[in-house]
Amino acid sequence: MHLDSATKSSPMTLPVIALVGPPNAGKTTLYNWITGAKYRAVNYPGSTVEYAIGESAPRMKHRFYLIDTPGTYSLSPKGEDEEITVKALFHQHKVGNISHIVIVVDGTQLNRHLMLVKQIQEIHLPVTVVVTMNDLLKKAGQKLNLKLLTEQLTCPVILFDGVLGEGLTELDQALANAKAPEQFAVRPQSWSPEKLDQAMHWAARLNRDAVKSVKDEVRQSAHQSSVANRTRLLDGFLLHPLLGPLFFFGIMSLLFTSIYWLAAPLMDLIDGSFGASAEFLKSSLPGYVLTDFIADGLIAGFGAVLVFVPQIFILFFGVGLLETSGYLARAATLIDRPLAMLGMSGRSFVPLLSGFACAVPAMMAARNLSSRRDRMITNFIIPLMTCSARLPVYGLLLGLIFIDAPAWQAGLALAALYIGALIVGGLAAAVLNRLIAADRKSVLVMELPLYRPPRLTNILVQSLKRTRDYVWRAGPTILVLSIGIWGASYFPRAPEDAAVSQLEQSYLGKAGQYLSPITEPMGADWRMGVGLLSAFAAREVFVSALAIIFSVENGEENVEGMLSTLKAATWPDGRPLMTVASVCSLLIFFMISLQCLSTFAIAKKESGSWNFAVGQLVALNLAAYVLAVATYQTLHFFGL
Amino acid sequence: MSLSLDTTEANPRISWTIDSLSGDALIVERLREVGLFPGAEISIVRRMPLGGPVVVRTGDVDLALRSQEAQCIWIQRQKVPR
Repeated sequence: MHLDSATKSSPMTLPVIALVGPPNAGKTTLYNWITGAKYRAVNYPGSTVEYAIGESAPRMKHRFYLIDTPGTYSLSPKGEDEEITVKALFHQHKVGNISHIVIVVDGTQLNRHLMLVKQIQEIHLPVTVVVTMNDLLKKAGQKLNLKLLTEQLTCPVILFDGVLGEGLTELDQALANAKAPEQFAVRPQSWSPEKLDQAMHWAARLNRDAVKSVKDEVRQSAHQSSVANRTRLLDGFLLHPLLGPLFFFGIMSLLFTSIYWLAAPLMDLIDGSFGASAEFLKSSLPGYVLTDFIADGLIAGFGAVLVFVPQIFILFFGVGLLETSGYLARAATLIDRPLAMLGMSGRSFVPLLSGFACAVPAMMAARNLSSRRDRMITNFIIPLMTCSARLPVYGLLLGLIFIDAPAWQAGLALAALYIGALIVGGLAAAVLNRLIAADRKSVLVMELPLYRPPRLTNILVQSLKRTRDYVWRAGPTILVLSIGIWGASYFPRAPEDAAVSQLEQSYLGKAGQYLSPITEPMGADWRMGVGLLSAFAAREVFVSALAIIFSVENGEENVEGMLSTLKAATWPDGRPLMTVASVCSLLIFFMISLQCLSTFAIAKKESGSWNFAVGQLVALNLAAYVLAVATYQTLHFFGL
Repeated sequence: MSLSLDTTEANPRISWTIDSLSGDALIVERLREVGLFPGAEISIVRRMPLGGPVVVRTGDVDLALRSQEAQCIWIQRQKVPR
């Protein structure tokens, strides 16, 4: 926030510094130390990959803007996120042009990371090199020859300890002393293989000369840090051919359980308190349209936005734990093969798994996928995962078929619905994998970082930021859409003494009636059609909408009443409405259709494209409709 | 004689030297950039189940490569395990 005001009042007064480095080098940790973890997420124009801009915190004497970029191994990008890093270096940012580059390299990986320093120096902007993981070097009994590194790299080199923040003052000083750029940034030519090899050999030599063992000069190369040893030991279990998959399913079940059940009481609390305040308003204010709008439109709309907050926060906290501890990279490696066959990567697993709780946080988690194609396929099939909002609908519909049958039969049918959805998801991914042309060959080299204890406060701050981002960026769309649905079911008003319910005579109800020629082939009359349309507010609304239309007393609370009323319902010609065929058709429809405006809103936000969001909405609902019709017609033919 | 990394059995105790890189230019460039260049010492730590990625170690770092990337790396035996 304060960044905006600062830019407006005094444009381009502060120098702009970019933070660049390979993945896992500790860039974000340094960023948080410098800015006090304050940032504004920025999208590069035409891209959904984010980078952060922040101002140096008061603990830094030197005032500047800092731009954090996605990790990159080189200036020759191999994926969308790396491309953004390279573009960001030459981009005219709102806060000004980049005048200095801080290159973050891992002190235990100098042989692999110093090549990037050489490449970046060809840009001809002043650079400072920050060597991180000093704590790991110390633990391994090693010491860096800073003088040699400074000489060889011909720029200031600063040691930094991400745990204690040691080295921040020296960096502050170096940045304050840094010269202004002598010329504009030059985009260097790409390197030949020979030049690359030379640079890598140079880096390996420099690493050998600069990193010395304090304890024992001779045993230096054989000396492995305790953290590396711990990692080898843990990997022996976590990547074991048999135990590895077991741990994987255990850890993922834990993550899923926390977003599914841990979030539930909080979501009920939000739902309940918004519902109660709406009721309170309606009972204490006169019954004007404005009262109804505030209570059922506005307050309910805010409720619809905030109800996702617990899941989003818990999911990002869990992913943060897995990511920073080092396990997420392993999990992605373990599950990579089956997902790769469908055009995704192991990184897609967590978003897809989250889809079984709710598509909204799931699509947000897919933001961590670096390949655009990977992200597109994953986001497309996330709504096919059986989210928790489908359960009340499945419960009601399965109740109609299995009301007198033993419970295991309904359970089996429910399992079939979950598996069916997975199969459809797999097929959809396979089709997309063929349809979407690979814009460039995807190169996947996954680094398995050392296991480190996660830093809880950082993860807490990041998850809160993610959650706030969601509320601010997707919230308005969800609010507007849900108020729209409310308006469609509220207007035009039914006369006081009308025999029909308000829902029936509203625009939404009318639309359901107009659409009956379309819903009839799937065995649904206009009343079911209205229920299906209402479900766009959220799938579970289907149940309460049916309760209203079929005027079941006590509404959805009265399960017995709902089941008997629905069972007794008939077509105008007296045929029963809810047959096995029509219920199966509805089940299939709910299994596949994208009936959730919040998902639609988040799909638009995350893909950055209306084409994707609308295309997904149309494709999934059309597929659901066609399969539902096919199901109904087939079963009906056999007299079910 | 050099062997393809893609078809060589995993055994963390055996050290290999990268002999040459061949194949898609983009992949080969990325392999060089992450430290898998001709002359680098590596060991093949493990293979993931069901034909999943192979984990190789160079220095202190473990890297997971898919078959597509592993196919580009040709290696030579360095020393016999004790």
